[in-house]
Amino acid sequence: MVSKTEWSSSVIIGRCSCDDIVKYPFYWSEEIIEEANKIGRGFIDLKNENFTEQKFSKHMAEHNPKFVFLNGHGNDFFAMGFNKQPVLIANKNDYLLRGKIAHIISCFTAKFLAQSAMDKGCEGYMGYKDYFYIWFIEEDPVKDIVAVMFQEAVNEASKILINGGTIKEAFEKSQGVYDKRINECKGRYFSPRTSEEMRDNLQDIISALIQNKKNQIYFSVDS
Amino acid sequence: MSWRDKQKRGNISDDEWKIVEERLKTMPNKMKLGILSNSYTKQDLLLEVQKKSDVGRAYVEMQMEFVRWLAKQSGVVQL
Repeated sequence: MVSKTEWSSSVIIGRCSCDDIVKYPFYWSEEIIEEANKIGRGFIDLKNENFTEQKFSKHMAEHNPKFVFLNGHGNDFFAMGFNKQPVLIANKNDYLLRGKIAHIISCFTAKFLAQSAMDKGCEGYMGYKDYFYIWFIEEDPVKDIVAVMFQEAVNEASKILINGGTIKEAFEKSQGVYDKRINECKGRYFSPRTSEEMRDNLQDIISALIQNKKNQIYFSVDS
Repeated sequence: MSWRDKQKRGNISDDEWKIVEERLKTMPNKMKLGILSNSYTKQDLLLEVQKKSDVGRAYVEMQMEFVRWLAKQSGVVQL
């Protein structure tokens, strides 16, 4: 059995593919798992029917992972898992984030849940204080060239964190990716060769990237 | 939406709703937007805007953010 000490630098990832939206961050997490394997960081992959409050609490207690990456729906008070059931809940089990670094991809959870967790001793928390948007054009996330812009901004932060970067560094890097993608779309938007139809689609993509960038916030004990 | 939510998000004027509605009417439906628990084509978003639902409001706010960004790109005084 792996000792608690060995797992204490590990990552716990919560994800499910139970609807059209969350299947995107479900797939995006594959890249983070690959990164964790590459650098020899242990991980616990709570996916689909395993992404529940009970299993999350159990694994947090047993393995004491350092990094908590959750992907799913959310509101001001809880991050959701399988079948939109609450998994990480303000003033119920957010004490589990004491001493941890959390990166949570969902709508709204960085508004109240984040602050509640920080009050309980969470070391750092990054997420979104309002809606989190994804534009996509394919049924299969693997093939989606639009959604990859949103994936990159999210995953850049996670990779910085598990490679030992601070929450502030992860946030700034992620914001930089949003800027890069916005500028890339901007170039196409203003190009005379771009069709009106494409320009309209680019408007939607740019506005979603802008909103995600604006809604992304972090809290850290170091700042 | 409660009065508290409206206060937090600010008011969206009738003109702003109309502008976005007109724009959506001309859009083909290739892309989908994932927001909250559902995905929406442009046609769906048009209906949400017309209903003035939470999703419709979010989409209008998104478009208003784009307008502000675009004004900045053009060197126009920020709205």
